[in-house]
Amino acid sequence: MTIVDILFYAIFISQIFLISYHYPKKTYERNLYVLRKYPAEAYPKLYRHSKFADPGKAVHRTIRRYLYANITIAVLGLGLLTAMAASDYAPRDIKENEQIMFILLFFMVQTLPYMLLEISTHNWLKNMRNLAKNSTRKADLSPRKLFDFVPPLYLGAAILAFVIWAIYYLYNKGFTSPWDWQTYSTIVFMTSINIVFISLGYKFLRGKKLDPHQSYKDQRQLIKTTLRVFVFASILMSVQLVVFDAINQNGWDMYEPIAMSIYFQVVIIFGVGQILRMFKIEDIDFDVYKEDAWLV
Amino acid sequence: MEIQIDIDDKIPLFTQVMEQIKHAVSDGALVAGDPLPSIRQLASDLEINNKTVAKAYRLLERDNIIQTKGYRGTFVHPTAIENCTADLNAWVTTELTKAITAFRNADVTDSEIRIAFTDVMNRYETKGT
Repeated sequence: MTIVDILFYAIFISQIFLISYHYPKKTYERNLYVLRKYPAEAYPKLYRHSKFADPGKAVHRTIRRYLYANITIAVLGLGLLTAMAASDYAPRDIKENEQIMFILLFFMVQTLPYMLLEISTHNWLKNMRNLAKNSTRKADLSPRKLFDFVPPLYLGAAILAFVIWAIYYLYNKGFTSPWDWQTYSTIVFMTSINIVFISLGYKFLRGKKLDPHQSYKDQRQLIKTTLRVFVFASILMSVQLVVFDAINQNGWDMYEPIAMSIYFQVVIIFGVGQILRMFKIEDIDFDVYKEDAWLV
Repeated sequence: MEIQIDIDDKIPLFTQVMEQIKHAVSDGALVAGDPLPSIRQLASDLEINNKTVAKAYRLLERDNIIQTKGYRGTFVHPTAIENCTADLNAWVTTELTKAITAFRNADVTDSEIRIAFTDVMNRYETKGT
């Protein structure tokens, strides 16, 4: 085994640990903390919309399943690594596309529980909004402007990263068209993803609260966290594509699976990790979920 | 600082928004120079039409409670606290009462007054809504 092979195994183990154990465990503990400290009896507005007789237990079941699903995927990942080691798999020997597909597919499996939890949270908030509808409506008179939540430097960095990627990519392809379909589709993909980030960011910034009872202070903190996640995701995407282009141009294919695994881990650290760091559960105002709570 | 409206209330929504902002100024919760949310943001948060908030802002600007500074946004007017006590609608009611009392004293009928009022309203251009 070469140093590259050992590095690949080490980084892939890190991917399994971070994405399928570390962050799911933190998410589980966070939700458990809420269930224990803010039960349905004292904070009915947090649970009232649930269709279950004991909403606390139902939520606990959901997050437990989320944790077990992640642990199962982690065990599967370790099993795959063991099989690879036993069959003397070496990244340097395998054709380029097979390596990438393996890492990419495994990452997609790892993100499945995250997506399902996100869908569950979305439905939870939607039911909360439907139940909270009444003729009285409230709004904060403080304006919400983009630079209140994201420093101009971060936005500038995201734009610069995109421009650098575009220039480097087209330089390698030749600046004059016609290009092949892959070039067009890459440009369309990158542009579309950034448009999606901008659209979602605008919706978070100027749209109404997803949680109808959330305090204005918490709403602003969530907006700040979410917008920064989008900006970092955009920067990371641009950087990742430049790295992969450089790898392809210089014939460093054996490093591609390592680079891809590192990229996915960084995405999670600056995505889920950022949300857990910036939107701490201990700082959230849960008094708004009491029966007689008024927004402050 | 929070405002609250009731969509089931008989009072028009734009009036509720105006009154809430005026109260915030007169109570000192908003002071001269304080920024206000954009029309779109406030309309989205209150789940009402943009035009309703736009109308409220237009009338507040007319009454020198707020001032719009283009792309920089909307702010509380420097003399908002004094202007809060001025009530245009009350002045209109007072003047109309005087005029109608004078017409009735001259034995002008109510239908004649109404016809003349409508004729004058239609003849002269109106500035706003």
